[in-house]
Amino acid sequence: MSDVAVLTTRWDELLERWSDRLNPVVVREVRQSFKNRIFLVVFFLLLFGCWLTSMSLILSYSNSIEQVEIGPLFYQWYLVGLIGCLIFAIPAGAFFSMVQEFRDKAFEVLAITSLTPQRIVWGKIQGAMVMMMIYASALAPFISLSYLLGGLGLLNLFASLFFLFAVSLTMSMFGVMMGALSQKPWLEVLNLLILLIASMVVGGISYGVSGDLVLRESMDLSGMLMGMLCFGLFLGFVALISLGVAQAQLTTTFLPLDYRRHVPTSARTPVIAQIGPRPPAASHPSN
Amino acid sequence: MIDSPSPLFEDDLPESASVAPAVKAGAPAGTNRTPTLEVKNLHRFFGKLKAVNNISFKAYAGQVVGFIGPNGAGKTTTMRILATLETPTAGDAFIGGESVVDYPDRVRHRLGFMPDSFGKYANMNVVEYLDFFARAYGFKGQQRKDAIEHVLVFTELRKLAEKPINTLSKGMSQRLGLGRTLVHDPDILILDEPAAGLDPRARVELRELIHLLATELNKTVLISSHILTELGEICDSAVIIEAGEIIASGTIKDILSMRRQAVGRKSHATIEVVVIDRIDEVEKWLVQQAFVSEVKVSVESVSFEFEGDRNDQHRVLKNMLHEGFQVLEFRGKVESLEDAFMDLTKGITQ
Repeated sequence: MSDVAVLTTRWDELLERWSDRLNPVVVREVRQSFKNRIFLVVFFLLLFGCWLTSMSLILSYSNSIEQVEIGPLFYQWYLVGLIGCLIFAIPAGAFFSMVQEFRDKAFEVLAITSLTPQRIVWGKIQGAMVMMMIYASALAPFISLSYLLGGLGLLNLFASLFFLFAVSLTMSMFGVMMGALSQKPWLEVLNLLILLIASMVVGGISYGVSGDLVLRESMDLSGMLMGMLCFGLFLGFVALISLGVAQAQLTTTFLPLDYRRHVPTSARTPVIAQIGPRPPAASHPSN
Repeated sequence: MIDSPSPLFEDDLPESASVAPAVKAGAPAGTNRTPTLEVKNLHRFFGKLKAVNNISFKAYAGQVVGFIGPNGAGKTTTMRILATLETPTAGDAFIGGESVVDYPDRVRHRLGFMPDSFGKYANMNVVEYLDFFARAYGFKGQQRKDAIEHVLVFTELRKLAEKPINTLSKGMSQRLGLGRTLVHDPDILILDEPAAGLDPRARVELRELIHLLATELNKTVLISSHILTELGEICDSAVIIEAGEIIASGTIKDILSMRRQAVGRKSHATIEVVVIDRIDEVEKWLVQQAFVSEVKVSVESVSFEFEGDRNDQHRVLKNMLHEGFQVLEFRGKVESLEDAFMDLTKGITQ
C-alpha cells in the first residue's frame, strides 16, 4: 500500500472515530448535502459569482486600486452572495430537511430509535451550522481580499460576519420550526412562503446592518455592546421559541420517551378506567 | 367471537366487561416459556370510533404470528401501539415483559417496526441509510460496522450497498426496510403489510427471509398482510381482527377448526369434481349421496362439502365411475386461511 493510501485510510479511520461522537442526524445531513445537486449548484454559483465580481471590480478600478481603499466596496458585493447563502439557502435547507422527515412515515421509523426529539432538532441546527462554515470557508479568500484592499477594520469585519452568522442560525432554527409545523401539503406551501418572506425581510435588514457595520469609521464600543445585547436577546427569543415549538411538535406527534413521567396512570384511562388494575409497579423496575 | 376460549386475564376484567377474546396465539404446548409479546385488554378509541376494542393475545420466541383483518379493522393501530408510536386508551402491551406505555424507551430497543411504507431519504445509499440507523440506535465504531455487515449479508443487499436508496425497486426497498428493523438485533419484529406491492419473486424471497428470522434467529414476528395464502404458508398462528375486536386466534389449525364450527360444518373437505359431460346429472346424483352437502355447479366442475372420511370419499368416486360419469379430476380442496377469513369476518367497516 502506498504512503498516500495509508494516510488516507488513517484519515478515514480518524474521521470515522470522530463521527461517532457526533449527533447521527448531523452526519446524515452533511452526507446528504454533499450529494445534493442544489447544494453543489449554489456552492459553485457562489464561487463563480464572487470570482466574476472580483474580476469585474478589479478591472473597473484597475487605475485607482492602489490609491483608493476599495475594500468595503468589494465586501458589500460579497455580502450579497453571503446573505443569499446564509439567510436564504441554509434556512430553506433546514426547512426542507425537516419536511422530509415527515414524508412517507420516515419519522415513524426514526421516532422509535434512541434519538430524542431534542437530538433530532439539534442535529438539524448543527447540520445548518456545518453548512454555514462550508459557505464561509468558500468565501474566506474573497473576504480576505477585500480586507487586504484596505478600508476595512478587522473589528468591523468580525462584527459584520458575527451578526450575519447569528441571524443565519436564528433563521435556520425558524426554518426547522416551520418544517416541523408542515405536516400537511398545504401547510408546507404556506410555511415555505412565510419562511421566504421572513428571509427577504431579514436578508434586507442584514444587508443594511452588515454593510453599515463595515463602513463605520469608528466603533462606539459601549453603544455597539448594547446594540448587540438587545439584538442578541431578540434573536435568542426567536431561537428559543423556534426550538421549543419544533421539539414540542415532534414530542406531541409521537409518544415521548418517558410517557410515564408526563401522564399519570389515572389520566391515561379516561374512557374505561374500570378495566382492571394495571400490573403492579414492582414487576417493572423504575428508571 | 366464534370460539369461546377462557380469557387469559380474567383477573383484569371488570364485571361489566364482556369476556375478552383473549387466546394465546399458538402457545407452545407443554412449555412454560414467557411470551415475548403480550397484548393485554388493549383499547384505542378515537372519539366514538373504537379502533381497537379489548384485544388480548400472546406470542412467543420463534413464532410467526399473522395479524389479519379487513381494512380499518385496527391492525395498524394495534401495531403502532406495540411500536410505541401511539398510546392505548386502556390496557397495555408488553414486549419482553416491558410495558409499551410505561417503558417505551426500553421497548424500542427490543423491537423492530416496519410500517407499510417508510420514507426513503434523498441522496443516500444503502450503506449510509443503515449506518444512520445504526448510529441512531447508539452503535459505535466496529460494533456499528459489524451490525451493518450482518444486515447486508442477511438481506443479500451487499451488492447494492452503494446504490442510492431512492433508485431501489420495491422489493429491494422492502429488503432494506427489513434490514433497518434488524440493525439493532431486536427480539420482536412488527411488520405491517411488508409484502404489499411486491412482485411474486420478491414476495417469495421476503417470505423466506421472514421464515429464517423465526427459525434461525428465534425472533418473534407479528406480520399483517392481505395476501392470506402467503401468511398461511409462513405463520404458525394467526389473530383475526374485525372492527377492532378479535374474531379468532390460535394456531392455523385452530382457526380452521373455528371456521368449520362457524359455518356449522363437520366435514374436513370440500371436494371438486371435473367431468367431461353430463354435469347436471352429476349434480342430481351427488345430491342423493350420503355425506354430501352444498353441491355447487360451475362451468365444468361440481364442488360439494363432504362429511365422511377418506374411505367414504373413495366409495363416492368409485360409484361415480360405476354410474358411467366421465370423471377427469376428483380432488379435495385444502382449507386455507383465506377461507377462514372470509367465513369468520363479516365485512364490517368502521
